[in-house]
Formats: sequence, structure tokens, C-alpha cells
Amino acid sequence: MRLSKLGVGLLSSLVQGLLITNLYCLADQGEEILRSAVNAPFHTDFEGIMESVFYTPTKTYTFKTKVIYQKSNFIYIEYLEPARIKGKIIIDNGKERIEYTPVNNKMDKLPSFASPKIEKIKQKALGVMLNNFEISRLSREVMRGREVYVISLNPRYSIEPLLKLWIDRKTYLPLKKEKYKPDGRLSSLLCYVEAKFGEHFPREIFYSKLPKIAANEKIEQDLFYYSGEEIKKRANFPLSFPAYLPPGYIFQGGEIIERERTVKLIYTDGLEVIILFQRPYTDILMRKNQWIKWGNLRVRFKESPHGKVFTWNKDKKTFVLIGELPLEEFVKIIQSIK
Amino acid sequence: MRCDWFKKNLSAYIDGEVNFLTRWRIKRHLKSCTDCYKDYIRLKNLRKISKIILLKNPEPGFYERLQAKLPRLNPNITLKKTGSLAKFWMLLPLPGKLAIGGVAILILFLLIIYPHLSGSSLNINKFEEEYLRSKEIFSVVEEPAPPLLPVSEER
Repeated sequence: MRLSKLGVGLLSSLVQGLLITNLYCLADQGEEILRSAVNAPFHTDFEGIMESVFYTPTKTYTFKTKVIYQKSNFIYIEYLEPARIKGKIIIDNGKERIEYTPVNNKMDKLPSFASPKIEKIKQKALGVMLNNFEISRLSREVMRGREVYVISLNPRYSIEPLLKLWIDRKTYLPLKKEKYKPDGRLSSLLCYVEAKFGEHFPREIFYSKLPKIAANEKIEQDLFYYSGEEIKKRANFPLSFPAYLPPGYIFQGGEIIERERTVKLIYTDGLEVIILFQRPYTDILMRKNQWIKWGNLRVRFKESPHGKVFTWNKDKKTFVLIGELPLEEFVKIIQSIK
Repeated sequence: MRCDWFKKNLSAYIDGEVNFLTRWRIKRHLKSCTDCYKDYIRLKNLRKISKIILLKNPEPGFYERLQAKLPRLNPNITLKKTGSLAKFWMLLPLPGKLAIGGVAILILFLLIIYPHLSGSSLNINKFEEEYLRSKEIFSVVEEPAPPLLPVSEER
């Protein structure tokens, strides 16, 4: 009798142990899947149409994008809808990233997102994100005839969003993303409405839609990110920094833009980004926006599909703060800027 | 001003054939020079009298003979009537023309070039573009990012 009780106890302990180990394994698997998913676009042959929907309290914005990923290190993105941005093209060939906007016939060249510099930034962001989110593998599903992992990124802090990802099992390509606000409402939904794997194209065809650039024309725009101390020295006016940051956010770097007139301070939690721009005093002329008054400060507020935009003048400087956070967090940040 | 220069232009001045600046100089000279003023009054009275005298009619056939002597005009050429603005411009002295040109260039500069140089008003779109670019780089799962939408598309 005693022996049988002991046997049952041992068995149940074993089962419990296995369950716990399995849970840890699943969590580890979730992290591994996510790590693989970050670089998957540069190592897959894929063609698809992505529909993205962004929800704001007043409006819903829908975008349609043609996405082509090619082995190795080639990305082609063409915006199809809405009409106002139709024809915008991004080509990333592993060396440079070309962004062409036909509306204003503007072309920008940046380092490729597969370049070691951006790769390093992405890895750092991944590290930050792993600190701020618990990654769990929810289940396996079948989506458009393909097996997918369903991963959930659960925030450790209540102000951060919850993210659900559907990642292709074979290629680790994210096929669907759902982002939820801290209050549980859906904030964005990105999903491939058409997807073909294994499609390979000659790269030349993608360049045919770009206007020809003179060989000697220099449009290279390199990215330089400085530490807090460095950016203070490089800026040609005294900088202000926020004393308060939302939990989980860290300072990622500073950049000098607009012919050295504006300083851009970047903060991230790995998933979301907050940018604080500052420049010498400039008139704020914006339409269809609303003023908010916080004490002596008059702040202009705008809600776009990308986030909240705050603009104000203080201490002979103009500030612009953009990000996706609850309003109270923005109030704390703005009031702490010194 | 020399009186001989004044006398040279006096007749044209009375007939209203001098430009704005010459007219102004002559008027100024008339105020200061008594002899020239007397000449001016004399010539002016003479003109008045000559207008009163009736001209004798020309001999018969005078206009026909004159017409025949004049060179014939090309029928394809159309004569343009000079507008009051063009007349004003022609009569305007060089400093006036330069001043108007300068003002026009200044207005064009203020309207077209200055806003780009000074960055006097804030272009929020530019900041949003920068934000989206940073989001693509610094966020782990943000590819492809939604582009900047100039005007919202409501569903």
C-alpha cells in the first residue's frame, strides 16, 4: 500500500516536472522563434500582399502593401493603397536601402537594414524587448495552408502593448500581427491577404520602377547615433532631456538631422519607440490640431495612425514628442523635460 | 542747373514732351532763376497766341499729294496702342524703375526662397517621417512600417 502511494507520488512529481520543463521549453522556444523571425525577411523567397489596419479613437486607417522578400538580403516593398501613397517603393538590397516617393519624386538612400550597423541596433532592441516582455508560445495553427507558431509578447509593465504574432513554421516569417493597447483594445492588425512562398525573381525588374539617378549624384544619407554626452557636445544649442521615462524604456541614441538644426533623441522598450525632437524656437503652425494646456505650457496635440504627436515651445526651443503611449505617460515626460 | 540746358528743353517742357525727372528739374530751376522764368512766360504766351491764330486752309489737292509722297504701310503690321501702364513705365526715370524692380525681387524672395531658408514654420510631417524611420530601425517587429499618410483614409 505504502509502496503504491509512493509510486503514485513519484509519478505525479514526474508529470509535474515534465509539465514545468515543457512550459520553460515552450517559453524558450518562443524566444528562439522570435529571434529567427527578426532576420527571416532577408533569408526567404516570398511574395505577398499585406493589409494593415490601424485603429485610433476617431479613425481607422487601412494600407495595402506588396511585399517581396528574396534570398539573400533583398526586400522590395510597394505601397498599393490608399491612393495618396500609391507607388511608394522601398528596395533593400543588403547594401543600401532606397526609398522612393513618387508624389514628390523624392529618393532617399540609407544603409541596408541587413547592414552590420542596423543589425547591431536590432539585436540591442531585441535584448531590451526580452527584458520588457514575456514571450510565450501559445499554439500551433494552420494559416492559409501553412503551419504557423502563435507567439504572444506579454508586457511586464501595464503601459506597454500586447503583441500576438503568427510566424510561419518553415521560414519564420511573421504572417500576421495583432497589437493590443494596455486597455485591451486592438490597436493594429497586419495580415497577409495573399502569400506565395518560394517565388524567385530577377532583381533587375524591381529597379525598373525607380527613376534613373545620375551615377555621380550623392544622395547617400548615413545614420549616426550618438550617446547622451556626445550629442550634447555636437548639438549647436543647449539640449534638454526628460527626467522621467516610462518603465521599460531606455535611451537608445541621439541623431542630428535637418542640416544640424534639429536633435532627435530616441527612446525604446524594444517594441515601441518614443522620439523627442528639439530645435531652436520655431513658429508652430499646424491646422486641425487641438491645444492642451498643462500649467503654463501650451501643447499642441495630434493623433495619427502612427501615434500621438505633441508640439510645444519652451525656453526658446521647440519640442516635438512622438510615440504610442497612454496620454498620462506623455504628460509625465513633457513635464519632466529640463 | 545751367540756363542753356534749360533753354534747350523749355519748348519740349511746355509741350509736355519731357520725362518725369526733366520736368521736375525744370520746375526747380524756374523757381530759382528769374531770367529763365521770364523766358518761360514769354514762350508760353507765344504758344497761347499761336493756338488762337486760325490756320489758312491748304491748297486743293494738298493732302492727296502728301499721301502719295508718304511711304506705304505694310498691311500685315498692326499698330499697337500703348497702354497707360506702359506710358507710365516709359515716363518713369531710371531710379524709379530700379526701385520697382528691387521691390518685385524682394517680394519673390520673401514668398519663395525665404521660407526654405529660415524654416520659420514647423513641418510636422518631416518629424513623423523621422519617427517612422526610427521605428523601423529600433523596433524589433516593425517591417514594413505603415507609411506617412498625408490625408487620412477613413474606412
